[in-house]
Amino acid sequence: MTIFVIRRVAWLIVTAVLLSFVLFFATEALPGNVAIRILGQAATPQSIARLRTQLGLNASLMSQYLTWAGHLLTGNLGRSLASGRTLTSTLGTRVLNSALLVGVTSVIAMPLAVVIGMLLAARRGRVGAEVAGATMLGLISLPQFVIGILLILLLSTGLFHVLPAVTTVAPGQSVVHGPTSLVLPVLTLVLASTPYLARLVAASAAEVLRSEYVVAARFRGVRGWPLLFRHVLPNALVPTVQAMTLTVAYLAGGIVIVESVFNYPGIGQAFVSAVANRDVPTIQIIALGLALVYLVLNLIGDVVSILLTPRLRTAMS
Amino acid sequence: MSGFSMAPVPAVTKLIEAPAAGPAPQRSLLGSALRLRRTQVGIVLLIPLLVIVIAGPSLAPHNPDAFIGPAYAPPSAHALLGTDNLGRDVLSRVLAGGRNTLIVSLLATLLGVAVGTALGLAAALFGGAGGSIAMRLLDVIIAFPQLVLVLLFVSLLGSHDWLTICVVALVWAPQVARVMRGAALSVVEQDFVRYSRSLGTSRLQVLWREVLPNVTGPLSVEFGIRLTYSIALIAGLGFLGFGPPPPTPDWGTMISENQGALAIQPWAVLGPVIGIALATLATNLIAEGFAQANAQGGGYAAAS
Amino acid sequence: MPLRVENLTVRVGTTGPAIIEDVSLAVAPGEILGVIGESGSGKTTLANALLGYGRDGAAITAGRVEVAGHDIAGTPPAKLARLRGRVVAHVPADPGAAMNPVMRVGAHLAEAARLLGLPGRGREQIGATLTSVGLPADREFLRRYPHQLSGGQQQRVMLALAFFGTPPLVVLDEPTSALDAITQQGVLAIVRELCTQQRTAAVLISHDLDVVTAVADRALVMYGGRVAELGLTAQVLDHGLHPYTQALRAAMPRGERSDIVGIPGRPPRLSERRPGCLFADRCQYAEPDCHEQVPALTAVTTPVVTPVVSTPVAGTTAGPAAEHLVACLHPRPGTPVATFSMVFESGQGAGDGQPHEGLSAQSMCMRYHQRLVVNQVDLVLRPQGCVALVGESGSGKTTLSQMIAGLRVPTSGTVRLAGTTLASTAHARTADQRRRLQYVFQNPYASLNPRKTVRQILAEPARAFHFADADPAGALDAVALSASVLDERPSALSGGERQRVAIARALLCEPDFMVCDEITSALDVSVQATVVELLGRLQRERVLGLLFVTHNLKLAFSIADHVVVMRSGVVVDSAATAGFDAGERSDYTKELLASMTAED
Repeated sequence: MTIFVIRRVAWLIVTAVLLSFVLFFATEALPGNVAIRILGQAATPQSIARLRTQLGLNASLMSQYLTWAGHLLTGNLGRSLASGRTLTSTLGTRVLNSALLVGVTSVIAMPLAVVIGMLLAARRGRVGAEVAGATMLGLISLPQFVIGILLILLLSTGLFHVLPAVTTVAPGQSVVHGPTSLVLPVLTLVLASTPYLARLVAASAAEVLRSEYVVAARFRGVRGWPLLFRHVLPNALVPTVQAMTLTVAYLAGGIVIVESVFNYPGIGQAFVSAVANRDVPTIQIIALGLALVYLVLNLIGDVVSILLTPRLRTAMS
Repeated sequence: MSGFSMAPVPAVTKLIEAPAAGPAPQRSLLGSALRLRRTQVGIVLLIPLLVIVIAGPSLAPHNPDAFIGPAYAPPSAHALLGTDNLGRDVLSRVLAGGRNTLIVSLLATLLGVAVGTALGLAAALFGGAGGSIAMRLLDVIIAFPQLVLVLLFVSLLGSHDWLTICVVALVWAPQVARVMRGAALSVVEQDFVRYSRSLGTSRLQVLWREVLPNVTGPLSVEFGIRLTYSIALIAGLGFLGFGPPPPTPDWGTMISENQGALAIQPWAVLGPVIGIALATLATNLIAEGFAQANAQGGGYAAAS
Repeated sequence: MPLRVENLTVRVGTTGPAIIEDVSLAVAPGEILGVIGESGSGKTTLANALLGYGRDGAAITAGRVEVAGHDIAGTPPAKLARLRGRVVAHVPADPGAAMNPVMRVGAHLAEAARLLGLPGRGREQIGATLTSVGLPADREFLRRYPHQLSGGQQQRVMLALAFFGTPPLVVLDEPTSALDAITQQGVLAIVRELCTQQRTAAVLISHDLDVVTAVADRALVMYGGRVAELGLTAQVLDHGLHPYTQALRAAMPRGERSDIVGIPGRPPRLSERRPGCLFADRCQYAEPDCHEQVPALTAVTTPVVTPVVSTPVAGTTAGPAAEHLVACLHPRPGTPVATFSMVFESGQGAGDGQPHEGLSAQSMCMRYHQRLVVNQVDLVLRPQGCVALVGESGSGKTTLSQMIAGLRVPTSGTVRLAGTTLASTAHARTADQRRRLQYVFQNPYASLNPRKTVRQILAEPARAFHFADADPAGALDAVALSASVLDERPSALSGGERQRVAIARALLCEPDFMVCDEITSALDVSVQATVVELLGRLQRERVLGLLFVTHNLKLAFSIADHVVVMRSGVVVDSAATAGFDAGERSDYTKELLASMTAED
């Protein structure tokens, strides 16, 4: 088992390095002279040349990459081209804000999805389940930002004037200062991610309910809660675990657009403005960070699902 | 011999004669899908969208770029959905702006699914060690959240329609490849494929004649799902400001342009929102219909 | 009375077609009733009904099921759960699938103990019940997961679970179908012993007449959802009066060289059930009134067999339990089954002679994951000979046959056809070589492309080998299928019909040799017999050498002139069928032979 984990971690590191490689080279291929952009009006051929040397832009692409990678490993994330400030300072609170957003959403969405999924599977064919199923189908179709806008209309500007339409927290500040700003974005993400997960749980549970061992257990007189908790749930959850980690990863990507809808001070919003400004260092760091999150979550998902499946667990040891 | 599983053949000693519960005629996938209510609803929703794509701009009462009144005017007889932030007719812009989004989404999906399917099927049949490594490489691309990947390209190369199509297709191809490879693998393991190979048929012919007809189920489902995501992705791009340059009407861009005035003139936002919602609902419902029809048919390759 | 069933009818939903109709039976304490039926007979529906369970919407619409005084059909679901396990228990066909993959063996048993209300986790009782089924009761065994047990061990655990609460009735649905012949014997012996000891009544469902003969006191034959015949086992099986029972007997391989006779046609599907006797259109003795009137189950006045067997069961020496009931308007005693001499006169299926004309494999080896799945095997098949390759699962017989056909690359070894060495993959062989050696797969549900029509399927070899005048209708005729099948898709055909299409596909190539890999294992006995009959006829009419792979030694004797027995990748015996049991045989083969005769 440990060998398997070590192998997967090694593969993860290799992938991460590969990713950073590709990312770096792709973004460095941006046309446009970086030095000119920084110096702006004050650019003269000499100052450009001096700045380029200063920034190390005259060295080969490969050595630039190695410098960059080396800086990363020591915690130096570089500077934003747009603001000139170090990325560690600008992104720090933003990362926390986004993490809070994803965290709160996950804590709500996952148990909710499991419960809804189980109920859907158990009450298949009944009116309530059909209506719930149809609602979720609708929600799954809608793009996240559309859900966000509709929520604003509903709860903020249109019907009920309950919540602020836009974040009341200034960029750079932690969301803790204005927790109401968290509500609408979380609600949007929960509505966007729960239906997909719930349907997966429902499909998995329905298959388990039909399985030979559940029928056999019922033939032995097992019913009710013991049947659910000992026979159905453990077997239905195994395929769902990977879906859960995928959902968190999906949320990590979803924040890019949802934060923009609500002007939420997280890294998603920072990424969008970095792209608009062609702020290469910021783009590189955030993209790499998000990809790493995805890879790590994937690994955790794989390992957990193996641990939960006796057949695979015993094959490993 | 690639393409053939090397695991020992399990013994089948259980009886698997046809069950007593009636004959199971092989209906076509399309037929079964069309019989489902969700597919029918999806198609009904699709009709106005098709109208918009084909005839949108000509149906618009006003020139979409013309200023016909004050900014954020409420709906009136003159402008059925009111005006937007610059005083242009919202309805006209909605009718004109759909075409671009929908066509770009469709083309991107077609390209992505075609490439992905070809890759996936090839990996399944010609597979073996090479196939798994190729899949691992594709996993690297899948590691990026889609929007991030697309925005990366946009930041590099700017936003043009043809570019968006290629990039979005590039984003979908690995995912489609993975799904289609899974579907194809379960078909490739079947005896009739091995029989065909044993006759001396080339792998390419086997792919075309034996495998492809048996994966139409997952293929149509993937197509529907990717189309839904494409519309969402491309509308999202417009929303973030990376869509067609102004003053070209675009649903996503319109939403962000008019978001500030949600309180006073919601229709400027609701118009494009309804358009996008209709499109994604329609495509997803149709995809769902195919998924259900496929699952009920119980073909060799079940949809994921 | 542990079980009394009266006029039971189960339908699809409350108004749908009847899956089983008007079934009546009774079982005494300690007695085993064997229920014999093929696909579509409704036997599994009957088994489920005894537990008050209806799969996919099946419901009891008429009649009565009484288990130890409890009215099963009338019990609400909540109370039913309390009856299951205590009053009536179930043993499934596939024990591997019936155990919860995330629960250990001990947990399964502890759960049963809990349900029975046993104090202190019932540790003693668990130990006792495990011992009674021949399993170790130590901690190591209890900690195992289902996938860490063999098929036989899994089934013994299921038996332990079923008999744990000493229920008055145990229902066993094909309990040995998924097991090897030798393991089967052990499991059946346990069933017999437990029933006797605990005075448990048992209903044992099986498609295998030998299983029923081995262990059941009385037998009930089902066809088309109705009871065809019921009585003492020996009475029904050896002196059956219903044409279907007789036909079934004639279709069973008897372990000697004789023609086995299949039943033409197929059982009626639910939607096809017509008035009158359901067997009438396949019955050779059918008369006009058979198509109009449903025969009632009536007692036969003079049973041939008086129970001499010393079964320690009460109530079978006389009285209603010893009755012989038949549902036929014109029952008649069957003709004794004749033993015909060898079909293939040459009698030199394998051995020396002129090997260069035949198909030969030398020193075949296959390594998989450091294990030799096939270990230095030699095989010779003469033109027009028939060699049966016999072995249990894991013996390597299928791997070997696939290597010979070029579907698997051997680790080492050579295959020769008429003296020429063949390439290890079919793809690399010449077209002529491929044509001359054909392979028919085991699973008729996977060997035909579901998207193609039969015509297109049969066109494939014609296209591959450039046959100028392929005759698909003729090929179908040779396998006794009507040409109307040409435009159907495989899903419209039954398993037996699909297998015939597969054989027709092979025959189109006019091969010299055909490898048939367990082609009848997935088919009903009567259908299997028709396919074997067909193969015999084809051999007579053409110059066709057959390599027939099977796990059924009796079947091997019925068809082949030479039998090769494999075990764990090695050939343990290779001899002509004539005089097979007389010669020097290996221990394993002797065990196989013994398990065959014990069941007679």
